[in-house]
Amino acid sequence: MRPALSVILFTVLSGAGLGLANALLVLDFIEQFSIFPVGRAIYAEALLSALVLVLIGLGSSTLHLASPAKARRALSQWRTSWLSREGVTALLFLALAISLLLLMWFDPPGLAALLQPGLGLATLGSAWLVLFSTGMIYACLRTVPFWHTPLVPLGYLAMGHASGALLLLWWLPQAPLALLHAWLWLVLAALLKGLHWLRFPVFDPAPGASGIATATATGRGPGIAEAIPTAASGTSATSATPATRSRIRLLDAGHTHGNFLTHEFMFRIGRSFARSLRLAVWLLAFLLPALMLSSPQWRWLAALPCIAGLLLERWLFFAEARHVVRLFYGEQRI
Amino acid sequence: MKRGLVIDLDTCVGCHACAVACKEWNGASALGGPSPDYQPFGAEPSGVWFNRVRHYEAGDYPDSKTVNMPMSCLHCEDAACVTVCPTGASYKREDGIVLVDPDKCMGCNYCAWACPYGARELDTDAGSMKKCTLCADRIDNQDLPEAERQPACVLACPTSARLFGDFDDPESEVSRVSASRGGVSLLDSLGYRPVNRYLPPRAPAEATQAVSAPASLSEVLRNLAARLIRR
Repeated sequence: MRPALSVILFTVLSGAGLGLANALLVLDFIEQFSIFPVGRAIYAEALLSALVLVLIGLGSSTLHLASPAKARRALSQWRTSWLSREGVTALLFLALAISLLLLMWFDPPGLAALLQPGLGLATLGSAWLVLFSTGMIYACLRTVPFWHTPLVPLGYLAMGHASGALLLLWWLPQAPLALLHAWLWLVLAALLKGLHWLRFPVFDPAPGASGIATATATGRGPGIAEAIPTAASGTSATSATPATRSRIRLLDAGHTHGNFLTHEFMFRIGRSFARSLRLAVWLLAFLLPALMLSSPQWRWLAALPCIAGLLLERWLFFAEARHVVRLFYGEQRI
Repeated sequence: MKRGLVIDLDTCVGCHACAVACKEWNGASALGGPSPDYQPFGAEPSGVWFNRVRHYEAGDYPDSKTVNMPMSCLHCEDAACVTVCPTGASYKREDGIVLVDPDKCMGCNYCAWACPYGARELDTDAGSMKKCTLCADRIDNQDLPEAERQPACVLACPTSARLFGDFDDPESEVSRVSASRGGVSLLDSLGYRPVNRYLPPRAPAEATQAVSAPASLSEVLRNLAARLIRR
């Protein structure tokens, strides 16, 4: 899949914003159910930053639309569409977080203590829902095996929370609970990303010595034999033998220049480049922040390499994803 | 109703007449909006096509065969493109035809991601997604003579490799032909239950047998005589 900068920025920035809101509210609750115990200034600054990050993310996400003016319609199909659910829950989060800020600002006597725990919990819950919906946008697509796994929404949730929890250390580098929370998500995110990559090794068009190139043998998705009927089943001798890589070739795609499909779905990335990038993501997004977490004077900045690494991770997430349409352009398996 | 196409890969000669007829009819389609061309006479000619013909070679030389494969929307029964659409622009009619309302579509590309068959292409001029309408504006059009209330691609095909009809009716031509010729649906394992059926190319022996009529004794003798005299 072609990596779109607007979508990469959106997923990473709003992920970090939602993670930041979650980390702040979790900390607020663990400390005790009192009003803004982390300190009013820090609370307001962090929540406002989370809001700004989510807003920048949402704004950039509309840039990839061909008709951004009709974006409001995207809220209508929440019953079936994860993309719509993401929009609805993101607006819910914005509304809740803004009311939380207003509550702090005006601080109506008696009312703040009454409303803050409930409103905080709802904001926290909505942040989780947005992150999960964003992950499910990709995971629900059966057409892209690389995305069609529970590791995708879980991993995205963990990466959003990890980058957000690290961001909170900007304000609270000394808080032991904030540190513990950041460690927890960072380790979880690294594990889930590692599992995703283990499940899907860098794609090799000519897999090793076994020579078996049928779809079922690789476990990733359908093969070209399932896409292009070349022989009546059971009537010819050749159809009984399993499809091998040499049986079906694209002679002519029917056009001399590319089209929407080749532009959107035929993005190619070299194997060694993909391997290097995977390593870079792991170092930048997980290992370097972990090292910085361990050192008290660098802790406050640990979110920086993490977010840079996650931007790279999202680019790779698109670049490595292979859509089933590629079979019709002659690729042997997905 | 379950309207769709049967496409015979055994008779398709890959002439692209169906794709061109589609472009001609839908170049000014009132239903989904026109299908645009980008730089049609420029260095990088491209554009939106609802129907594309690709050509494959199956098997290895000398036992290889060219397979011409036209592809348009397969009007899936479980159309993921419709359920993933966040705006409600994509919808499925009662007769099974999957359509896009260009007034609602915001061009997010998500339906194209959900479609395994590459049936949806973004019109960057209009900012909305385009796709095969099964010429709903022809088949519904009472002003056309009844024989012409068919998709433009079906009418254009010079080898009659395309049939249009209702798969819900077991007696319809599409149902009968698909059953007798072992019509297959593409990428079945993904579970979208596409309606369109492809008739796989027959093996050479099978095709020859089907063509040659059973010869009577006198015919055999006459053929033999003809061959002898020519020598």
